[in-house]
Amino acid sequence: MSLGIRINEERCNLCGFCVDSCPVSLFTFDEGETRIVIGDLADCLVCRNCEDHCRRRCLVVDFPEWPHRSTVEAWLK
Amino acid sequence: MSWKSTRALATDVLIIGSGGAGLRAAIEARRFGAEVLVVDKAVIGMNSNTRYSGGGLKAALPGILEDRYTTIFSTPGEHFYEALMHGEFLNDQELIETLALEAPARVLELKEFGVERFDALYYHVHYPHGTGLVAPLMAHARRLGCTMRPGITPTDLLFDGDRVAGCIGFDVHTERPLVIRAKAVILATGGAGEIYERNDTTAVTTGDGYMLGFKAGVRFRDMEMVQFEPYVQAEPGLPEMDRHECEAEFFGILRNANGDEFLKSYLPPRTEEVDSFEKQFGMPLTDIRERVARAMVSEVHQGRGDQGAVLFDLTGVPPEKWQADIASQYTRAVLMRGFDPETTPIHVLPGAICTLGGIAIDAQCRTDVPGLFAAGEVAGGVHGAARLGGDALVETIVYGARAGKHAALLAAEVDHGDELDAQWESAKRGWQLVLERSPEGASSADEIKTRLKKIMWKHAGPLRDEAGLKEALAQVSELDEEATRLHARSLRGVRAAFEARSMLLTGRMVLTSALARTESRGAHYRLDYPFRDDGRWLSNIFVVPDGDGIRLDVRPVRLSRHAPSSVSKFGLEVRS
Repeated sequence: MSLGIRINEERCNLCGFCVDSCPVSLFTFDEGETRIVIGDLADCLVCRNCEDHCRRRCLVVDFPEWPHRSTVEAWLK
Repeated sequence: MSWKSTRALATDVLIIGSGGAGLRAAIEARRFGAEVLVVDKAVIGMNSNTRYSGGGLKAALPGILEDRYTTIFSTPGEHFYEALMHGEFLNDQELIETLALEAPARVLELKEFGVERFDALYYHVHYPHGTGLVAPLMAHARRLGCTMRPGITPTDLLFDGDRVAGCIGFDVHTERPLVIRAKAVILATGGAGEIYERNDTTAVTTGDGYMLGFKAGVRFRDMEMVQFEPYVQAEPGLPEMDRHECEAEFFGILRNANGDEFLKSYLPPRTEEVDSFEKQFGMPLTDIRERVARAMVSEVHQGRGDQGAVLFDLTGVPPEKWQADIASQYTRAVLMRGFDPETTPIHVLPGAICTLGGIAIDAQCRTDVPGLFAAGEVAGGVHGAARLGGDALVETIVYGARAGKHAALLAAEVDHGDELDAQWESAKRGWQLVLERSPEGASSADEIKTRLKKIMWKHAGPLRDEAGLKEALAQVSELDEEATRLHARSLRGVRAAFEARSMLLTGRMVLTSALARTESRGAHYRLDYPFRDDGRWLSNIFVVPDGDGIRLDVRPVRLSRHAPSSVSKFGLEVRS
């Protein structure tokens, strides 16, 4: 299993939409609110809500076993 | 600290919360000509229980809404009757009557908003299945011209005399205080599944609407009724998530640590077939979740659990069933990633899914406070003591629409309140106290939340008793005291503090009501009072704000259509 969430910290502007969009509170700000901390990936539902809401497109949910919604929806039609 | 200047907004109808009920209310209020502003503390629509639900809808639409795994109603009367029987007579009968009668039209109307499939979304829409409902509602509300703003946390309601006239809050994205004047306010904030350690709700459902209502002085009803979803994963390293209805799951068998199929001793089977829960036990799983959940927890309670959970044996599932539908494929690939269900049973244990009680409303969604409406999970009375699967989403669209309509009609008659400035200055001082408190010796909102969740799961879960509930109340009082010393570095921290306090209030309401109800009914099960007692408890427990605390007001159920004595066990009305 190869689930991973990567944030390009050089691009991240700390808008916090990943924090607000996650149904299992996987993301938190660190103590000084200078970066996003990713919690235990065991909780991740791979709903990709964080990816969809990332304003700077700098967050990637990497899980090749399950494609993105757009791919599956095209395939369902 | 110094504040950035306060942003002042004004609208006709303010809707707090953007799940199914909030979005449906927005559409309806706009249709009735009101200017609409929807605010959400997190993101609009996409982080709501509606979106993460299975997407099932119940309505009397024979030939149209025919999900083979749930009950099909041929008339609204049947829908009413089933909801009343499952709610064990605690429902507000006027509310379920409205629900059953309006559900078919409201479900069909979803097509107008662009909802392509409304029958069993879990078969046809990629996870999260509720996206198929929320995304079109959002798009339609935008098309109609509703304004929607994410990241806004209202902490207090504004009053003009005794009428609600808006809210005060802050925007975490701009770090600015915000005052919103409105002619009518709709609470659509959802429930508080998050007060339980084990839950299947999104992390934002912290009972904020209960806190806003409480501060405004509304009454709450049936708060002891919390529904638990049975098959929530409890396997280390895998997400704690409900395993949505899917083809493969129907071949699963629940076993205890001894390998016994224990469900058969709780729900006597009618057939030996395992390809459908309904065929085997006579009722769809989604309609009797609380009974299955109680059976699972009882096994663990009686020492027949395995690592504190029970086992869901999917080893007998024909391999092709894992490919049969989108929900089965998602379950196998994502929820059970790396786990092999063909050889090893998976640990499952119930988790909170829905707070059935809530703010007391009438059929126009009016609360006790003028100008304040409530719809969806935040409101109580529709489901009574237990809920049919699919009725929660139908409640959001039926009562969301009603709240939107009646709020818009009220907004057309009244003006914006004035002299509100003093109120928001005092609310701002409340946040400032949290921000200016020294971190030394301060308590943490996250820690309070975590401790409350453990207390609630241990003592107010599917099995309850007097000693446990009393101990939990004592522990919640300690946490209440700690919550007076919260510190935050930013407005996001103030939001966490507000959530912690809302969760403590909700927990206290659940515990107090559960302690008072000395019987078992629906989702509420007392080990020390294991039977339903219609003689003493055909009553609703109302929670009434009383200063800073709460008091209970127990009232006989208003049996406007049916009483238990007028209904025979065959479902026919007894006429004498």
